[in-house]
Amino acid sequence: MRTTETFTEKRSNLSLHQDLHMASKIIILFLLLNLPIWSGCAGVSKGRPLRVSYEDAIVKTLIDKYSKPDAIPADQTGITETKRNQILDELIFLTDVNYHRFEAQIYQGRAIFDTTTDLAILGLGAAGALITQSGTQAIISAISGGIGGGRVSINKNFFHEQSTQALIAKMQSTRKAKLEFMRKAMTLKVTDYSLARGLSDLAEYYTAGTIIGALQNITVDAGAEAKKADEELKKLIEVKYTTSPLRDRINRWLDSNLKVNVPLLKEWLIRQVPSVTVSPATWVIDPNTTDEMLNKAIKENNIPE
Amino acid sequence: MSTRIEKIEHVPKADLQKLIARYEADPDYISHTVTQEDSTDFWTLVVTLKAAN
Repeated sequence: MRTTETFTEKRSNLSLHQDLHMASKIIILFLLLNLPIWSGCAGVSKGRPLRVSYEDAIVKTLIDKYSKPDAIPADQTGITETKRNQILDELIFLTDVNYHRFEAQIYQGRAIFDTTTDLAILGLGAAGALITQSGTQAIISAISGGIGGGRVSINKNFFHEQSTQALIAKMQSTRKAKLEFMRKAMTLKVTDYSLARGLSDLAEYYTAGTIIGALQNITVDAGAEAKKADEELKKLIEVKYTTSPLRDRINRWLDSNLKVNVPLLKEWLIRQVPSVTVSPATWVIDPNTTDEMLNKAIKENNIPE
Repeated sequence: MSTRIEKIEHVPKADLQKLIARYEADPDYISHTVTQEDSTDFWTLVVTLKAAN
Protein backbone atom coordinates (compact mmCIF):
# COMPACT_ATOMS: atom_id res chain seq x y z
CA MET A 1 0.00 0.00 0.00
CA ARG A 2 2.74 2.38 1.01
CA THR A 3 4.63 1.41 -2.15
CA THR A 4 1.59 2.26 -4.28
CA GLU A 5 1.06 5.60 -2.55
CA THR A 6 4.71 6.49 -2.94
CA PHE A 7 4.57 5.57 -6.63
CA THR A 8 1.37 7.64 -7.12
CA GLU A 9 2.92 10.55 -5.24
CA LYS A 10 6.08 10.35 -7.29
CA ARG A 11 4.05 10.15 -10.49
CA SER A 12 2.00 13.14 -9.40
CA ASN A 13 5.16 15.08 -8.63
CA LEU A 14 6.61 14.11 -11.98
CA SER A 15 3.43 15.23 -13.76
CA LEU A 16 3.53 18.55 -11.88
CA HIS A 17 7.16 18.95 -12.81
CA GLN A 18 6.36 18.25 -16.48
CA ASP A 19 3.48 20.76 -16.43
CA LEU A 20 5.71 23.43 -14.90
CA HIS A 21 8.39 22.65 -17.45
CA MET A 22 5.82 22.95 -20.28
CA ALA A 23 4.42 26.19 -18.82
CA SER A 24 7.89 27.69 -18.63
CA LYS A 25 8.51 26.71 -22.27
CA ILE A 26 5.28 28.42 -23.34
CA ILE A 27 6.13 31.58 -21.35
CA ILE A 28 9.62 31.73 -22.92
CA LEU A 29 8.09 31.18 -26.36
CA PHE A 30 5.51 33.92 -25.74
CA LEU A 31 8.26 36.33 -24.70
CA LEU A 32 10.40 35.45 -27.71
CA LEU A 33 7.53 35.91 -30.16
CA ASN A 34 6.48 39.28 -28.78
CA LEU A 35 9.96 40.70 -28.25
CA PRO A 36 10.34 42.04 -31.82
CA ILE A 37 6.95 43.75 -31.60
CA TRP A 38 7.67 45.35 -28.19
CA SER A 39 11.22 46.28 -29.10
CA GLY A 40 10.68 48.56 -32.07
CA CYS A 41 8.70 47.17 -35.01
CA ALA A 42 6.11 49.84 -34.28
CA GLY A 43 8.73 52.55 -34.80
CA VAL A 44 9.36 51.60 -38.45
CA SER A 45 5.89 50.38 -39.36
CA LYS A 46 5.11 53.41 -41.52
CA GLY A 47 8.22 52.72 -43.59
CA ARG A 48 8.60 56.33 -44.70
CA PRO A 49 9.44 59.68 -43.16
CA LEU A 50 6.73 61.93 -41.78
CA ARG A 51 5.04 64.27 -44.25
CA VAL A 52 6.28 67.84 -44.34
CA SER A 53 4.39 70.02 -41.89
CA TYR A 54 3.22 72.60 -44.43
CA GLU A 55 1.62 70.00 -46.70
CA ASP A 56 -1.71 69.91 -44.87
CA ALA A 57 -2.04 73.70 -44.95
CA ILE A 58 -1.40 73.85 -48.71
CA VAL A 59 -3.79 70.97 -49.34
CA LYS A 60 -6.52 72.65 -47.30
CA THR A 61 -6.03 75.97 -49.12
CA LEU A 62 -6.19 74.30 -52.53
CA ILE A 63 -9.20 72.17 -51.66
CA ASP A 64 -11.03 75.31 -50.45
CA LYS A 65 -10.03 77.09 -53.65
CA TYR A 66 -11.20 74.35 -56.01
CA SER A 67 -14.36 73.58 -54.05
CA LYS A 68 -15.77 76.92 -55.17
CA PRO A 69 -18.08 76.66 -58.21
CA ASP A 70 -16.20 79.29 -60.23
CA ALA A 71 -12.68 77.93 -59.50
CA ILE A 72 -12.52 76.54 -63.03
CA PRO A 73 -14.32 78.90 -65.42
CA ALA A 74 -17.00 77.36 -67.61
CA ASP A 75 -16.02 79.73 -70.41
CA GLN A 76 -12.38 78.99 -71.04
CA THR A 77 -11.84 81.35 -73.97
CA GLY A 78 -9.99 83.85 -71.76
CA ILE A 79 -7.66 81.29 -70.20
CA THR A 80 -3.98 82.05 -70.75
CA GLU A 81 -1.11 79.53 -70.75
CA THR A 82 -0.03 80.81 -67.31
CA LYS A 83 -3.52 80.41 -65.83
CA ARG A 84 -3.97 76.96 -67.42
CA ASN A 85 -0.65 75.78 -66.06
CA GLN A 86 -1.36 77.17 -62.60
CA ILE A 87 -4.68 75.31 -62.41
CA LEU A 88 -3.17 72.08 -63.72
CA ASP A 89 -0.08 72.34 -61.47
CA GLU A 90 -2.22 72.82 -58.36
CA LEU A 91 -4.53 69.95 -59.26
CA ILE A 92 -1.54 67.73 -60.07
CA PHE A 93 -0.16 68.56 -56.61
CA LEU A 94 -3.46 67.56 -54.96
CA THR A 95 -3.58 64.36 -57.03
CA ASP A 96 0.02 63.56 -56.00
CA VAL A 97 -0.64 64.13 -52.29
CA ASN A 98 -3.75 61.96 -52.51
CA TYR A 99 -1.85 59.24 -54.35
CA HIS A 100 1.13 59.18 -51.99
CA ARG A 101 -1.16 58.85 -48.97
CA PHE A 102 -3.08 56.09 -50.74
CA GLU A 103 0.12 54.28 -51.69
CA ALA A 104 1.39 54.46 -48.11
CA GLN A 105 -1.93 53.12 -46.83
CA ILE A 106 -2.11 50.13 -49.15
CA TYR A 107 1.56 49.30 -48.71
CA GLN A 108 1.54 49.76 -44.93
CA GLY A 109 -1.85 48.14 -44.38
CA ARG A 110 -1.06 45.08 -46.39
CA ALA A 111 2.54 44.77 -45.20
CA ILE A 112 1.37 44.80 -41.59
CA PHE A 113 -1.26 42.17 -42.33
CA ASP A 114 1.23 39.90 -44.09
CA THR A 115 3.89 40.41 -41.41
CA THR A 116 1.42 39.63 -38.63
CA THR A 117 0.15 36.48 -40.26
CA ASP A 118 3.66 35.36 -41.19
CA LEU A 119 4.76 35.94 -37.60
CA ALA A 120 1.77 33.97 -36.34
CA ILE A 121 2.53 31.09 -38.71
CA LEU A 122 6.22 31.20 -37.77
CA GLY A 123 5.38 31.40 -34.07
CA LEU A 124 2.88 28.60 -34.18
CA GLY A 125 5.32 26.48 -36.13
CA ALA A 126 7.99 27.13 -33.50
CA ALA A 127 5.54 26.27 -30.73
CA GLY A 128 4.73 23.05 -32.54
CA ALA A 129 8.41 22.12 -32.51
CA LEU A 130 8.81 22.84 -28.80
CA ILE A 131 5.59 21.23 -27.57
CA THR A 132 5.94 17.53 -28.00
CA GLN A 133 2.37 16.39 -27.48
CA SER A 134 1.06 15.31 -30.88
CA GLY A 135 -2.51 16.42 -30.13
CA THR A 136 -1.41 19.97 -29.41
CA GLN A 137 0.77 19.97 -32.52
CA ALA A 138 -2.21 18.93 -34.61
CA ILE A 139 -4.36 21.76 -33.21
CA ILE A 140 -1.56 24.31 -33.76
CA SER A 141 -1.05 23.07 -37.31
CA ALA A 142 -4.76 23.50 -37.98
CA ILE A 143 -4.73 27.07 -36.61
CA SER A 144 -1.57 27.84 -38.53
CA GLY A 145 -3.11 26.47 -41.73
CA GLY A 146 -6.25 28.54 -41.08
CA ILE A 147 -4.29 31.78 -40.78
CA GLY A 148 -2.32 31.05 -43.95
CA GLY A 149 -5.52 30.20 -45.78
CA GLY A 150 -7.11 33.41 -44.57
CA ARG A 151 -4.22 35.44 -45.90
CA VAL A 152 -4.41 33.81 -49.32
CA SER A 153 -8.15 34.42 -49.43
CA ILE A 154 -7.85 38.08 -48.41
CA ASN A 155 -5.07 38.77 -50.90
CA LYS A 156 -6.98 36.99 -53.65
CA ASN A 157 -10.15 38.94 -52.99
CA PHE A 158 -8.70 42.38 -52.52
CA PHE A 159 -5.57 42.40 -54.64
CA HIS A 160 -6.36 39.75 -57.28
CA GLU A 161 -3.16 37.95 -56.27
CA GLN A 162 -0.95 40.74 -57.61
CA SER A 163 1.80 41.61 -55.18
CA THR A 164 1.68 45.04 -53.59
CA GLN A 165 5.03 45.87 -55.17
CA ALA A 166 3.77 44.96 -58.66
CA LEU A 167 0.65 47.09 -58.24
CA ILE A 168 2.57 50.08 -56.91
CA ALA A 169 5.25 49.72 -59.61
CA LYS A 170 2.57 49.72 -62.30
CA MET A 171 0.79 52.72 -60.78
CA GLN A 172 4.08 54.64 -60.51
CA SER A 173 5.21 53.89 -64.08
CA THR A 174 1.83 54.77 -65.63
CA ARG A 175 1.57 57.95 -63.56
CA LYS A 176 5.12 58.95 -64.54
CA ALA A 177 4.41 58.48 -68.25
CA LYS A 178 1.19 60.47 -68.02
CA LEU A 179 2.84 63.26 -66.03
CA GLU A 180 5.69 63.52 -68.54
CA PHE A 181 3.14 63.85 -71.33
CA MET A 182 1.27 66.56 -69.43
CA ARG A 183 4.43 68.50 -68.59
CA LYS A 184 5.41 68.46 -72.26
CA ALA A 185 1.92 69.48 -73.36
CA MET A 186 1.85 72.32 -70.82
CA THR A 187 4.64 74.06 -72.75
CA LEU A 188 2.24 74.45 -75.71
CA LYS A 189 0.00 77.37 -76.46
CA VAL A 190 -3.47 77.19 -74.99
CA THR A 191 -4.91 76.84 -78.51
CA ASP A 192 -2.96 73.61 -78.94
CA TYR A 193 -3.44 72.26 -75.41
CA SER A 194 -6.57 73.63 -73.80
CA LEU A 195 -7.45 73.58 -70.11
CA ALA A 196 -10.29 71.16 -70.90
CA ARG A 197 -7.81 68.76 -72.50
CA GLY A 198 -5.49 69.19 -69.53
CA LEU A 199 -8.31 68.36 -67.11
CA SER A 200 -9.14 65.29 -69.15
CA ASP A 201 -5.48 64.19 -68.93
CA LEU A 202 -5.55 64.92 -65.20
CA ALA A 203 -8.48 62.50 -64.81
CA GLU A 204 -6.40 59.84 -66.59
CA TYR A 205 -3.43 60.72 -64.35
CA TYR A 206 -5.62 60.15 -61.30
CA THR A 207 -6.95 56.83 -62.64
CA ALA A 208 -3.38 55.66 -63.29
CA GLY A 209 -2.83 55.84 -59.52
CA THR A 210 -5.71 53.55 -58.57
CA ILE A 211 -5.74 49.80 -57.96
CA ILE A 212 -8.32 49.37 -60.73
CA GLY A 213 -6.13 51.36 -63.14
CA ALA A 214 -3.05 49.31 -62.21
CA LEU A 215 -4.90 46.01 -62.60
CA GLN A 216 -6.23 47.11 -65.99
CA ASN A 217 -2.74 48.11 -67.13
CA ILE A 218 -1.23 44.87 -65.86
CA THR A 219 -3.94 42.95 -67.69
CA VAL A 220 -3.22 44.90 -70.86
CA ASP A 221 0.50 44.19 -70.51
CA ALA A 222 -0.17 40.53 -69.83
CA GLY A 223 -2.22 40.20 -73.00
CA ALA A 224 0.89 39.77 -75.15
CA GLU A 225 -0.99 38.50 -78.15
CA ALA A 226 -3.51 41.33 -78.08
CA LYS A 227 -0.68 43.83 -77.71
CA LYS A 228 1.21 42.31 -80.62
CA ALA A 229 -1.95 42.45 -82.75
CA ASP A 230 -2.44 46.10 -81.80
CA GLU A 231 1.13 46.87 -82.79
CA GLU A 232 0.70 45.13 -86.12
CA LEU A 233 -2.46 47.13 -86.69
CA LYS A 234 -0.63 50.35 -85.90
CA LYS A 235 2.03 49.44 -88.47
CA LEU A 236 -0.53 49.46 -91.30
CA ILE A 237 -1.72 52.95 -92.13
CA GLU A 238 -4.36 53.32 -94.84
CA VAL A 239 -5.04 56.76 -96.27
CA LYS A 240 -7.14 58.05 -99.13
CA TYR A 241 -5.23 60.58 -101.23
CA THR A 242 -6.55 64.09 -100.55
CA THR A 243 -5.71 67.48 -102.03
CA SER A 244 -6.44 71.05 -100.96
CA PRO A 245 -4.73 74.45 -101.43
CA LEU A 246 -2.90 74.09 -98.10
CA ARG A 247 -1.73 70.55 -98.91
CA ASP A 248 -0.65 71.63 -102.41
CA ARG A 249 1.36 74.48 -100.90
CA ILE A 250 3.25 72.14 -98.56
CA ASN A 251 3.79 69.58 -101.34
CA ARG A 252 5.23 72.25 -103.64
CA TRP A 253 7.64 73.21 -100.85
CA LEU A 254 8.62 69.56 -100.30
CA ASP A 255 9.17 69.03 -104.04
CA SER A 256 11.34 72.15 -104.30
CA ASN A 257 14.09 70.44 -102.29
CA LEU A 258 13.13 66.87 -101.37
CA LYS A 259 16.36 65.86 -99.65
CA VAL A 260 16.22 68.84 -97.26
CA ASN A 261 12.52 69.60 -96.79
CA VAL A 262 11.18 66.05 -96.31
CA PRO A 263 13.53 65.32 -93.36
CA LEU A 264 12.85 68.84 -92.04
CA LEU A 265 9.07 68.25 -91.96
CA LYS A 266 9.63 64.77 -90.54
CA GLU A 267 11.57 66.18 -87.60
CA TRP A 268 8.93 68.85 -87.05
CA LEU A 269 6.18 66.18 -86.97
CA ILE A 270 8.09 64.11 -84.40
CA ARG A 271 8.36 67.19 -82.16
CA GLN A 272 4.58 67.63 -82.04
CA VAL A 273 2.47 66.54 -79.03
CA PRO A 274 1.43 63.85 -79.54
CA SER A 275 4.29 62.96 -81.83
CA VAL A 276 3.40 62.22 -85.48
CA THR A 277 5.31 59.22 -86.77
CA VAL A 278 3.84 58.70 -90.25
CA SER A 279 5.86 59.73 -93.25
CA PRO A 280 5.60 63.47 -94.08
CA ALA A 281 4.27 62.54 -97.55
CA THR A 282 1.40 60.61 -95.93
CA TRP A 283 0.71 63.26 -93.29
CA VAL A 284 0.22 65.97 -95.93
CA ILE A 285 -2.32 64.02 -98.05
CA ASP A 286 -4.10 62.36 -95.10
CA PRO A 287 -7.72 63.64 -94.85
CA ASN A 288 -7.43 63.40 -91.05
CA THR A 289 -4.72 66.09 -91.01
CA THR A 290 -6.55 69.27 -90.01
CA ASP A 291 -6.18 72.68 -91.66
CA GLU A 292 -5.10 73.96 -88.23
CA MET A 293 -2.12 71.58 -88.22
CA LEU A 294 -1.31 72.31 -91.87
CA ASN A 295 -1.31 76.05 -91.14
CA LYS A 296 0.88 75.45 -88.10
CA ALA A 297 3.38 73.52 -90.26
CA ILE A 298 3.35 76.32 -92.85
CA LYS A 299 3.93 78.99 -90.21
CA GLU A 300 6.59 77.22 -88.16
CA ASN A 301 8.55 75.97 -91.19
CA ASN A 302 8.24 79.26 -93.12
CA ILE A 303 6.67 77.48 -96.11
CA PRO A 304 6.17 80.01 -98.95
CA GLU A 305 2.99 80.50 -101.01
CA MET B 1 14.39 45.23 -88.63
CA SER B 2 10.89 46.33 -87.70
CA THR B 3 8.85 47.87 -90.52
CA ARG B 4 5.57 49.66 -91.06
CA ILE B 5 3.37 50.00 -94.12
CA GLU B 6 1.60 53.09 -95.38
CA LYS B 7 -1.03 52.45 -98.03
CA ILE B 8 -2.26 55.40 -100.10
CA GLU B 9 -5.38 54.82 -102.17
CA HIS B 10 -6.87 56.75 -105.07
CA VAL B 11 -3.71 58.55 -106.16
CA PRO B 12 -4.23 60.37 -109.50
CA LYS B 13 -1.83 59.16 -112.16
CA ALA B 14 -0.53 62.73 -112.63
CA ASP B 15 0.54 62.95 -108.96
CA LEU B 16 1.93 59.45 -108.56
CA GLN B 17 5.60 60.01 -109.43
CA LYS B 18 5.90 63.15 -107.32
CA LEU B 19 4.33 61.35 -104.36
CA ILE B 20 6.74 58.42 -104.72
CA ALA B 21 9.67 60.85 -104.83
CA ARG B 22 8.54 62.35 -101.50
CA TYR B 23 8.54 58.90 -99.89
CA GLU B 24 11.96 58.12 -101.37
CA ALA B 25 13.31 61.25 -99.66
CA ASP B 26 12.09 59.98 -96.27
CA PRO B 27 15.08 58.66 -94.24
CA ASP B 28 12.94 55.65 -93.22
CA TYR B 29 11.98 54.67 -96.80
CA ILE B 30 12.64 51.04 -97.80
CA SER B 31 10.53 50.22 -100.87
CA HIS B 32 7.18 50.70 -102.63
CA THR B 33 4.74 49.01 -104.98
CA VAL B 34 2.00 50.50 -107.16
CA THR B 35 -1.17 48.90 -108.48
CA GLN B 36 -3.75 50.41 -110.79
CA GLU B 37 -7.25 50.58 -109.39
CA ASP B 38 -9.95 48.89 -111.48
CA SER B 39 -10.68 50.63 -114.79
CA THR B 40 -9.64 54.07 -113.53
CA ASP B 41 -6.74 56.50 -113.75
CA PHE B 42 -6.14 56.14 -110.05
CA TRP B 43 -3.43 54.09 -108.38
CA THR B 44 -2.81 52.55 -104.98
CA LEU B 45 0.66 53.10 -103.58
CA VAL B 46 1.98 50.84 -100.82
CA VAL B 47 5.15 52.08 -99.12
CA THR B 48 7.31 50.10 -96.69
CA LEU B 49 9.27 52.14 -94.15
CA LYS B 50 11.37 51.46 -91.10
CA ALA B 51 9.16 51.46 -88.01
CA ALA B 52 9.46 54.51 -85.79
CA ASN B 53 11.04 53.75 -82.40
